[in-house]
Amino acid sequence: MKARSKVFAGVLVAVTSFGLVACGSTGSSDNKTGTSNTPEQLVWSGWSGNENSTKPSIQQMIDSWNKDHPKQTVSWQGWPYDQTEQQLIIRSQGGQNLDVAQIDMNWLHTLAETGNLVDLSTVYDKQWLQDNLDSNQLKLGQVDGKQYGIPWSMASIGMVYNPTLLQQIGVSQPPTTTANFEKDLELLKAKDKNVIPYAMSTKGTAELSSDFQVWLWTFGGHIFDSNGNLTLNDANGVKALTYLKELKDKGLIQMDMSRFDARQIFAKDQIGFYNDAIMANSILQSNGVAADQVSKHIQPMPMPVVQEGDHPQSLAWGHMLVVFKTSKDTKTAAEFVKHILSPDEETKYFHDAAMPPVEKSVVNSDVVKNDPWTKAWIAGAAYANGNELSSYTQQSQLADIIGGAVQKALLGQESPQQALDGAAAQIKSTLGK
Amino acid sequence: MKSVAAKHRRGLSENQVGALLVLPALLVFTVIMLYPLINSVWMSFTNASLIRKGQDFVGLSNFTHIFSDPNFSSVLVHTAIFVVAGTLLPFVLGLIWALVLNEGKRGSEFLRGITLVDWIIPSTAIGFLWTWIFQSNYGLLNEVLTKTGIIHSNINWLGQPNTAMIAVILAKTWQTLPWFMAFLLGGLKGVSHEQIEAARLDGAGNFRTFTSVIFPEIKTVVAIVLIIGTIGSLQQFDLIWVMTQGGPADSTTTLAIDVYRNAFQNWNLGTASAIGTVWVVLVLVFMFFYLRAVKEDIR
Repeated sequence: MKARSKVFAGVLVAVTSFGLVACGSTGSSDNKTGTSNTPEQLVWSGWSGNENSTKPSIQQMIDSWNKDHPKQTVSWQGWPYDQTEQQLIIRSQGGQNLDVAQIDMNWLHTLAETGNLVDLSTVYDKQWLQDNLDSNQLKLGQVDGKQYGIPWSMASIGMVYNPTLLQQIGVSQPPTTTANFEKDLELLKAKDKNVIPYAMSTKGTAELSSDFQVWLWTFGGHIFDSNGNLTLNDANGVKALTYLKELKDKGLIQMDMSRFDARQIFAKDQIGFYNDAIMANSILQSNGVAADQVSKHIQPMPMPVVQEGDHPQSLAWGHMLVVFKTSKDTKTAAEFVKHILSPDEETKYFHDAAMPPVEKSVVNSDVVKNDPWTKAWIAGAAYANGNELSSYTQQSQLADIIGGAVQKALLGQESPQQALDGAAAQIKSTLGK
Repeated sequence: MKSVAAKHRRGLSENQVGALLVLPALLVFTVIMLYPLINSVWMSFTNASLIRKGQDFVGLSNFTHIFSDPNFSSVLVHTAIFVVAGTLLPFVLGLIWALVLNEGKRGSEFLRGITLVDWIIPSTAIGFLWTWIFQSNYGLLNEVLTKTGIIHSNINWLGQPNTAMIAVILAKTWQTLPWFMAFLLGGLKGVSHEQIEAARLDGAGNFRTFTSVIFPEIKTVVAIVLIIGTIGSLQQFDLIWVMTQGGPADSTTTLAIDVYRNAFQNWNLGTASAIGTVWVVLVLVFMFFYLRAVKEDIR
């Protein structure tokens, strides 16, 4: 009897303790409107606060906010770029607290589909949006008419080259046509077999899909035509992939190359050309090249074209800011976004990290308009197209399909036609077309 | 007196005490292992997605989809190659090393300790280490091979399907060799030295001594480590993901990688769970043989 009582008492204590811990404290007040007297901390998520070239700028934005808002501070929570989308989806679907997040503009439709993003047109004054941001860029942040994303930094993924290496092969200007591009790659290879002539992103399927799209457009192809029909595997698509396969067979493109690897190796003057975003010069600097030497080692260039007179292609690229419904305080989160987009912060971000601003007064300022790097980049991005996959919630899967097909063709496992036919069939199946 | 004795006998029985002692572990097992397993199997019959809330029952649709996908057969083949090679190679090398250490020569204890060091290194760190070794432009292997004149230009180890699979198998071997060595050495310690000496006195060479004297004594240990090693290889994810992400062109994509991709890149939890269920069934086959081997060992 005594033993049984002891066991029963023990179980009762354990259950009661567990219950108290599980119920816990639910917080002192409703924090949605930020009316609590206890200091609250919001979280800003993304990847730029983890990368060397942009980390100081992100921290500076947070510090300047925290100085003026000691009761509503912000802290950074970051992951590598290629894990950020996944982290945001899993955490928001799991009900974890997320406040403000930096996203790649291509992720917007997928994140909007989760139903966890705040329609910022209900938070911001319409006049403020119109006064401060370009209407075309604002449209990029809309899904079904709702303003889920606010543009933060918009430019393109374009091609950069190493002027020092080109000079060594007697080339003073970057190539303008695909034929001349191939010739320059061959000269680079002949000069130094350890140099990677063109570091196309061949490792990850998502990056490869982005780089391949630009080449697809260069050869007059598209993944989908204007009516939404799949045209990936038409004659132009095959031409584009065949061109790249020939570059690979000649040793001018290398497999197992990520954009991250390319940045590191480019800083060592071991790459002639590669594709990157506008802040490639500040990344080069953060990888050890002195500021006064950067222009000798990296310059932007328009993508080569098939025939003179064609428009050089590039991929529209940008970062956006979103606010999550799971935020403790959506009002303050939205104010923090305004702080990031303020002229002071945008100017500093541009100056310190070469990130192109979107705030109108900063875009039109002399500092930005007269910056030689930005001017040259924008000139090459005049015909930038949006990622053809970004309007699909399955964009990640579609990118994987296309990147995988390109890898198979480059490796000779399938012919370009076979690879693209296979990809087209998989895309049809995925989209239920 | 009799009533006092009877009173004491009415305390908890041995079975009840045993059940109470096992209860916490059972609760942990249920929450951490059983519930997720049942939930995953259930999800394999639904269209669960990380993007959309809610899920609908779709019957065998996910299984039909994966078995009709031509890429899935490649995933099974890659899994088989990785599991067989990634288990047998460290096993053979681990056995050889255990036999050497079992000789008890000077320095054996030290060498055993050194061998066990890489067992405690996390898989992810091992993956990064071997990625650096095999990196085509600045990797250690190409540097050594070009400097010694064995090759004249860098080999893209992780960029070609055949060499990428070899690279991940070698990394797996390096990771698990200490584990095989440790268990096999334990088994070898149970083999009578007198029997081995007697065999040698009778003129048996090393191979004959191993096959006729040593192996019969350790065959149960061998069976158990091979089965557990196979299960471990079937579960390997982090090493392959860090080194190749399942590429190039899916050439190192195993079941583990396929589950991850479907769940966390394609956001398709239903399909990922279906692949996971197939994976569990494969593991259960080996679990059956493992449990049988353990039972025989106890007998």
